[in-house]
Amino acid sequence: MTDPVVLGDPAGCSRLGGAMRREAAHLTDRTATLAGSGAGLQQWRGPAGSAARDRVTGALTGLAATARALDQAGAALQRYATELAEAHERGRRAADRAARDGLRVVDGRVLEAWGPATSEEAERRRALVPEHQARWTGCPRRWAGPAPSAAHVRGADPGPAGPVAGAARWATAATLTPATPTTVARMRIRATIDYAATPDEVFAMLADRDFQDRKANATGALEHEVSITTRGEQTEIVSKRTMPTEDFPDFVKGMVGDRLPVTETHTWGPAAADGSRRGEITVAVGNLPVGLKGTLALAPAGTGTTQSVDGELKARIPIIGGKVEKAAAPAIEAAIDIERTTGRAWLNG
Amino acid sequence: MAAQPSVDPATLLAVSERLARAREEAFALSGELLDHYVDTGDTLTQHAVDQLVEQATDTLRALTDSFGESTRALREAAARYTEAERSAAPGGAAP
Repeated sequence: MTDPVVLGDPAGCSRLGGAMRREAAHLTDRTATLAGSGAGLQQWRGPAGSAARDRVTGALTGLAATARALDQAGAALQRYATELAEAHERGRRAADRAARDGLRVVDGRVLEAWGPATSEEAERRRALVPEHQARWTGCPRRWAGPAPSAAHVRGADPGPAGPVAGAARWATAATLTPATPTTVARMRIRATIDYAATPDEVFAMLADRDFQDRKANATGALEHEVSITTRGEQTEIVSKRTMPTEDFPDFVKGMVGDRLPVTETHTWGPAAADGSRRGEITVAVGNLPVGLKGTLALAPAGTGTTQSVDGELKARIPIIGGKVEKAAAPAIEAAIDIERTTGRAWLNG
Repeated sequence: MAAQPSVDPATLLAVSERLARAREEAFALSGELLDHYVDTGDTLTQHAVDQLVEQATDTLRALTDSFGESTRALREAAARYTEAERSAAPGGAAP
């Protein structure tokens, strides 16, 4: 099964948008009911009556503004879901066209397909990449506008409007605007490692169990297990490590405990005539919906070799997904640094 | 003799009951929003939507608190005025 070329779940976006609008309708009804029944408070004279009326009126105004904001946000999310569904369809068609020309689309980038090819065929495919890349326009749209501030709603705003100010600001902020078509953006992890060795020598190192053991030990893993398997022209290197979490942010430790299993898988394709190779990398973190997925490459560079990693880190966790990505990114980047240091030391003997 | 309250305590209780229902609804809706997780496919959009849901939840919780305070205030006033009426009635106990 191939990966989807456009990420995102249109149905889920549509469901949340619909839920927001239903909630908005409930709140609007409730506001009307309360406004009617609250008229009885008008007879209540004196400071106590005045304070109660002000409080109820403020809450009702806030409720009405919240309902409007929810309805607008829900409508915007429903529009986004429609556009995302259309982008999925465009992406599917783009991927089909690319496949017919011996290419594939990975996260919006057009790449040559796996497998052996004659030099003429490889050249033909490479020549077609820019054309396919230019055709590729399937992308989600981007949310714009500042986030609302709950502090206003909580009454931190000293203005007389109190809760109303926050809700009104939120109402104007909850909009979706089109963004320039681009590839799907997640938290991108990009790195290159230069080695003073040929691509064949670097690949031999990467596929060496002792090197992988040394790398795992250098990451500070509490325990680890390495497997290296060759299937046809593909080489799969799997490194399973159990990492301590003592240096993680507290909110991450609260979710995962004091040990975190990490499985890093590199799948390399065959060498080209110049020794270059392409591969794929995935990093899975325990049972958490957090992971890295990307591409690997080994390419000759002068008398040495450049290894590149280009991946995207994603945490599919409501609300705190972004925080988890930010917390996980340094660990991924540190692992790449360790590969660089360990690899150079290995090749220097 | 104590002054008669300017508002019928039964009116205050009726409004407080409606506010209490609004409080329950706002609280339930805030929980319902958190039950949804969407994958927007784009980091910036995802962060914005996550933040929006979080802020909407906070807003509804703030309204929950506000309705709760109003409900308590109206119930206390209703109780106070009921007691005052009872005291003012012929043969009623002095406060």
